[in-house]
Amino acid sequence: MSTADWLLVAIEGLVVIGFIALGVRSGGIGLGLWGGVGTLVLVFLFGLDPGEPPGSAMLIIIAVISAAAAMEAAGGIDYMVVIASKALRARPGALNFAAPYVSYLLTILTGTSNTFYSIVPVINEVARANKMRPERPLASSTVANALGITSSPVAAAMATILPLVEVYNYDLVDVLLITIPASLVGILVMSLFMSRHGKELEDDPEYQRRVAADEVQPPAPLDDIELKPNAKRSVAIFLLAVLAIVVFGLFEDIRPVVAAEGGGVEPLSITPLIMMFMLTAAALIVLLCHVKVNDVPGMPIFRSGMVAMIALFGIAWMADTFIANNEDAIVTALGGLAEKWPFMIAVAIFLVAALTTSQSASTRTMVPLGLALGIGAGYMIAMWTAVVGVLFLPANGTQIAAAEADTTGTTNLGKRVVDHSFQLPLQVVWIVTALVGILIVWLFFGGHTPAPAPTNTTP
Amino acid sequence: MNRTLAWIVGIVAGIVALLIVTAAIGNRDKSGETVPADAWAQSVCGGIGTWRGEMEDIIDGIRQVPATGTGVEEPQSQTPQGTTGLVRTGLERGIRATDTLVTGIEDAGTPETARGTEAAQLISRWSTTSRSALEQAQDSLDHEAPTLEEAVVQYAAAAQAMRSVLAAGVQTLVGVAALNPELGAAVQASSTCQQLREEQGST
Repeated sequence: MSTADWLLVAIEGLVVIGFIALGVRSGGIGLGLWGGVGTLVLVFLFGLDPGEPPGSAMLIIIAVISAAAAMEAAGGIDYMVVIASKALRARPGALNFAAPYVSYLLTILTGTSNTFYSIVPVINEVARANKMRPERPLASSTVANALGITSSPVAAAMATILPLVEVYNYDLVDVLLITIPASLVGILVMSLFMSRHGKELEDDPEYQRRVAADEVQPPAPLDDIELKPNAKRSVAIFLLAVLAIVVFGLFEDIRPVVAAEGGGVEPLSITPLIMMFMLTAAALIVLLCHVKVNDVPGMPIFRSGMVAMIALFGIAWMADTFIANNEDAIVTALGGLAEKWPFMIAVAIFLVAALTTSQSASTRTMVPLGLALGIGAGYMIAMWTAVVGVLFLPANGTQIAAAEADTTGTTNLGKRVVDHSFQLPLQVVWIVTALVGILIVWLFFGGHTPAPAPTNTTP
Repeated sequence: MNRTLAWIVGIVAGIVALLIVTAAIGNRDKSGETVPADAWAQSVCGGIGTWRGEMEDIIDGIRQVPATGTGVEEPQSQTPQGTTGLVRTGLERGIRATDTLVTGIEDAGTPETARGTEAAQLISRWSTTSRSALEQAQDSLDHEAPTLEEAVVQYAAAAQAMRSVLAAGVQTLVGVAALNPELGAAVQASSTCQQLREEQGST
């Protein structure tokens, strides 16, 4: 690429960042609207081919918020808040630790972070009911959720890395033995940091402003919450649907099979299954919990979910338009960086994930390069967890959904693109996880892997 | 020092620590150096094994259309709803993967044997030719073919370039191993070469 080409890529990148900045300043659906304008500018002014809008992620949001809003209409959210608050009565702060681990586990079991949408409103409401700053558990849960991809045996990114390291005698179990303990420690440290982050909810100026402006109501005391008669049933239906998704996510063999293009059959992917189960849960809640269908769109969860979906639509479309046209340039530049200075490989993995917003793209381009540079396979697996860098820019669906769900305003997408609520937990978790992973490899996998095999011959 | 600045300093310190640890792990750029025969065999077979893994992923992406997909990869979809690449993208990824393989084999250095210089010359010649062929293939793909027939020829040429690079690489390695019995023994004993043989045997 010529200097002029690089300059053009840089200008296009600045356009994307500029429109993200406009979007986050505008807030709400403004993010999506400005993302749409950015897409238009990239296509008409710079002549780029339009990328793909995030159809699957948007449809999953619709399905999940339909189920969650139906549950809310049936009183199920109140029920979950009461139960969780009772469980946390002795130590409400435990939510800061429990929520990220639950979120991480959901991703491990389903292989996708899209199931996170189902627990966002619950985490938010439990935090608010306990007068905790929702940003703490919400931001760290969002990050833990993305980190779960590298610990999931059924994630697409795992399927990408395994063939790359098999030749070095690392199988699925070995990879999980590195990534899971490292991630558990990373999440713990992140949660510790986040449990002290920011002002307490009642002292937060943005929350105070919203309460004063009547934009948000202070949480009702727990004792004042009147549970509706079918609240428990709606929760049971919702959780059963989540459980079904987990089971089908974990066991591919029990999924329906569909024809594969190359011949034969293959298991149905988890994304349509999530949509089916969530819409079915919504239907069953409406049917069995006597919820009026027209009440569902009026629920706060539905509103915040729709806002998140529109925001995601525009911003992810714009980002993909830039990425689809420039992925080669990004990978070449950061690959060149790692080739020149191999010690930068973890940072390169993080940055490729951040700039392409794709864990798979970062895995398939940077991991082989690191291996070719002679960095041990075990260490590459440890540093692979840096693909959580997809959350570096506030353009991911889970980030937008978490920010929208938090009506107190403590969880936000920032004002200067990178100063969002997820940045601190993200930075803490990727650094700690990579370091702990490296330590695990050094201690238990024979140091600089692969060790050359001894030969019996002498010259 | 305010709180935000403290966080930034802390994060930068963490990244610096990670860079130091990664530098301490080290890498293996032995291009132009001589290395023990067993280490050389280990590196070369490892590189080829990784390349095979990448090619498997690429081929799967090309031939397996998703369960409900539209033939494109959607942003933020973490399940394989779209093919990760149709023919063109697959070829581009293949070229990149093969280029990475060439880097890995160059970095593996020269086996420390009696005829090491000859071995180094063979490898150097192969890597120079390969890079040139791959660059040509990539340049060719960067230009839109004016007709369908030319587009098919263009894609076939790119695929052929990858095949030729690999075939020549295998030929080169066989030639290098044949230069000295010690190298042959190293290839036999190396764990990555053994794993590679098992993988090839199972397919």
